Amino acid sequence: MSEKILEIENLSTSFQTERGIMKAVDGVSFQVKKGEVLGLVGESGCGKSVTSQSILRLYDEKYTARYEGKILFDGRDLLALSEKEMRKIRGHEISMIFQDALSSLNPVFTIGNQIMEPLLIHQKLSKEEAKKQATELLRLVGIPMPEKRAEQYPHELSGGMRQRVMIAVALACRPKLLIADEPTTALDVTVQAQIMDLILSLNKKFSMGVILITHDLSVVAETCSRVAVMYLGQIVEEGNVCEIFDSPSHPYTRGLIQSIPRMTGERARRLYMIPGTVPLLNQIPSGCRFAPRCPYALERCRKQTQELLETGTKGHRVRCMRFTELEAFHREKQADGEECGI
Amino acid sequence: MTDLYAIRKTLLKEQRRLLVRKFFKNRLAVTGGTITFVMLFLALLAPVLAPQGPLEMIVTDRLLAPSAAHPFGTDTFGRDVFTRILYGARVSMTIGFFVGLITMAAGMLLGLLASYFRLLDEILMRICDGLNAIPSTLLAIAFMSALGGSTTNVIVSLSIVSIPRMARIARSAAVVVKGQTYIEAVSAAGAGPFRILFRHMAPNILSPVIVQASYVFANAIITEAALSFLGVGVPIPQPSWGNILYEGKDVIYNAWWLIVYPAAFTALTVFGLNLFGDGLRDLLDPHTS
Amino acid sequence: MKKYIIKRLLALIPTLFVVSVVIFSIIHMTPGDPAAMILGDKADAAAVEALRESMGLNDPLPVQYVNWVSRVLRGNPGRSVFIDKPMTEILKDYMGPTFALTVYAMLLATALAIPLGVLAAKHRGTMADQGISFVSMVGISMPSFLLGLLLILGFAVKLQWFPVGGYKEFGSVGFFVYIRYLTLPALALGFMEAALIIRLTRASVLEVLASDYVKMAKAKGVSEFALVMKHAFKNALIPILTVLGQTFMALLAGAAVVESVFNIPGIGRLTVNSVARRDYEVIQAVVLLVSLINVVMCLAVDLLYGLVDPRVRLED
Repeated sequence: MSEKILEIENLSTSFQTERGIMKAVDGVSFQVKKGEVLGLVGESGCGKSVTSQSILRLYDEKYTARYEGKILFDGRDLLALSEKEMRKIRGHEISMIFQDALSSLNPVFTIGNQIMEPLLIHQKLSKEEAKKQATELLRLVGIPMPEKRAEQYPHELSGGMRQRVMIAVALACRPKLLIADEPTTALDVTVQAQIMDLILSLNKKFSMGVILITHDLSVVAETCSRVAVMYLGQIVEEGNVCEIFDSPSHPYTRGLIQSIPRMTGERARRLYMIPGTVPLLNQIPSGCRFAPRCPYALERCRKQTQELLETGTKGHRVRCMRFTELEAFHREKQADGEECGI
Repeated sequence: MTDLYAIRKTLLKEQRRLLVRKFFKNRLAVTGGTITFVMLFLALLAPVLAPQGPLEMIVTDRLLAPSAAHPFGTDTFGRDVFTRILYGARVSMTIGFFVGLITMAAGMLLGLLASYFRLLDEILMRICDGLNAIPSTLLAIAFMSALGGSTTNVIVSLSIVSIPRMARIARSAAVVVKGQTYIEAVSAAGAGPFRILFRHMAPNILSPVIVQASYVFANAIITEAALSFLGVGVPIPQPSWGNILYEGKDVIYNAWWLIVYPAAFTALTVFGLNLFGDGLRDLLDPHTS
Repeated sequence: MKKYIIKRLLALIPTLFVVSVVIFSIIHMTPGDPAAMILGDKADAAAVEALRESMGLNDPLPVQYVNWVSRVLRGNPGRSVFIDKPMTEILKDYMGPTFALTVYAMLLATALAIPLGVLAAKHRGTMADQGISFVSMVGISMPSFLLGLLLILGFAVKLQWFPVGGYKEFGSVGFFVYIRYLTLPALALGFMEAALIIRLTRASVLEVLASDYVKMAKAKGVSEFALVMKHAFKNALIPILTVLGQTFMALLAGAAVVESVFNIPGIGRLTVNSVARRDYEVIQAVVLLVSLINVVMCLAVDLLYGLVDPRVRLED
């Protein structure tokens, strides 16, 4: 269980835009172990999707995007590979599920055709074999009447079905790492649960690593073993799930957790809201990036930048210079009973 | 209600100022606009700039190549080609302008009415479909054959063939505007249909209509030149670009200047108008580009 | 599908009605008496009256319209006062060159424009893209008859690579001479349409390349080439296909002018000559024929649309 399959070191992704160069991901590092589910969490615009798509180098490197740092996959640095070698990784050893299945499946090709494609490219199967496997995959992801479905086009399926098809495409070549970018956001709540269960059961079955990207902390709490919280292109806190939920060290993480609606406790309590909105990438504040929205920010927070600090618990890191003070403060407050416990 | 209206008005004014600034930043649009204005300027000042009268024939000076005395040479009748091109700009610009204007006015009127009255909409749109099914050049030729060649008839024919498309564009813009909250608010306040249509909706469908009008303008110049070249447009000896080409075709072996100069002026004018139109569209109608 | 076709066919009825009314009224738009116009100033009153009677001009307008439509439906769209042949035969004779010219121009335009548009999209922002964009901008400002005249001046008068004009029968001169006579006219005719297709193809491919499904295909490990040629192209083709129908019609109608530039005996020349001869019924017949082809073409494109885009089939 401890074998690392992905190790990202100091990854930065910047884009050439009309308004100059924008750094969407700035010095991100994390690891994924074999069979582990890592949650990558943050509000929209925090760089979580960019991070995940950078792993597969999906952005156009000729005109717009630039990557820096290292992405070690099975010991090889993906950023050093040629485009041709990179193609052998995509959809073969690392697969991806996108948020919106309707726009992500090609409208003019049949479902079967799209599942067969990675098999034909990477495993050099014959058409008939690929077809047979595609049907198997559809059955695996729980689609009834797979033979019939394979002949249909994406628009003829329901949202949940389409998402299952995407998973089938992603799993076609039995990848070692699956990146799921908001896989359930566009779906009904009941379907959401089914899709998450499917991803988790496949994660166990094939013991592949999963990076689950979401803004929904409740999904993370149910599924992930470890979490990395991102804010404005940086990781602000990282640790195992219980740790993060029981004692969040960064004010941003705390804010996110407090804004989850709860079924228990006093109904009248108003949901917590993090004040302000995520700034644009060309208006990144100096000092701590969260300082302008942070209720505990001091003068030094606005001036100095902060690297990730070890909290003392193994694998728990946080990017806040006041985290020890705040920890004490919150413990006191909780003891006074002013705040409902987490 | 009046408050809201006043606010909308100041907002619109502010927006317009921003648009003007943006326009001058758009290099293509400025180039197109400059070409168009230079052509308008030449057309207006033709009597001042021209060295000769447009119909004045100097029999001894037939088919002279371009020289200092005749910068664009002379034609079969010894008329100065430069003079005729300047006066031709008048014809082209007049026709383009009036066709653009009439098409815009009629198209907007029909489009607005169609957006409001359902039965009228059905009828008007079926008529537009029918007219659109007939290729416009051929229809214009047919109209001209029946009406007879004259500048006015060219304007009438070209307007008829370009109104259906304009009406469609105005209608779809009007349907969108009609669904917006402030129109519902105005109508809830008790404004009559005509007040709603012409005072509140008309200004808000101007953008796509103006963009289309600039293309109609360009197209009218092309089609007029083509009609005159075919001998069914502006009657000779009037100096239209198409007429110069029509006469030049017979002496194409001897006098290239009778082809190259009017062709260059026509193409340049249309080029300018197209650039201008594209610039306007990027500015006013960003989602369609 | 069947339901959809029937619905489309029914929708044609009002369109055809309007088309027929407009074309019918052309002859009645003449200032004064059409019969007198046809016969000219010197004709005597008895001859004019006789022609009025034979053209049915003495009947009330609705009766004239119904008579005209029923004649057209029986395959007899009027008589030429100048050419002594049934109208259908006249149209058949003159349609050949026009059709050949249109198809040739269409082939030239699409064969050049679609690859150039894809190329420009694939290498957007480069010199190649800007060059292609500039050529297409010039192209849409260059009406066919202007380009035709300039081509004649350059390639026929100065360089003498091609004939100045005229038309040779395919059967009597063989393929190469035939093509040599048609090349300049086809280039002149096709250039502006090619420019439009380049712009559309470029925009369409760019839009598709930015779509989620192309990103997903890239994530599957599809190569750059297959990404553009397989995933993007078939989708980008959908808007292009609709425009190709319009292109064909624009070329067919534009042939009228180009034929006059190059002295090609097609329906366009026929129309222009008929204007000079006041042969109104020929003009009506040509306009009607081209409009009918247009209507059929639009229908065909619509149905073809359903074949390329699987989403359309549901919407009947």
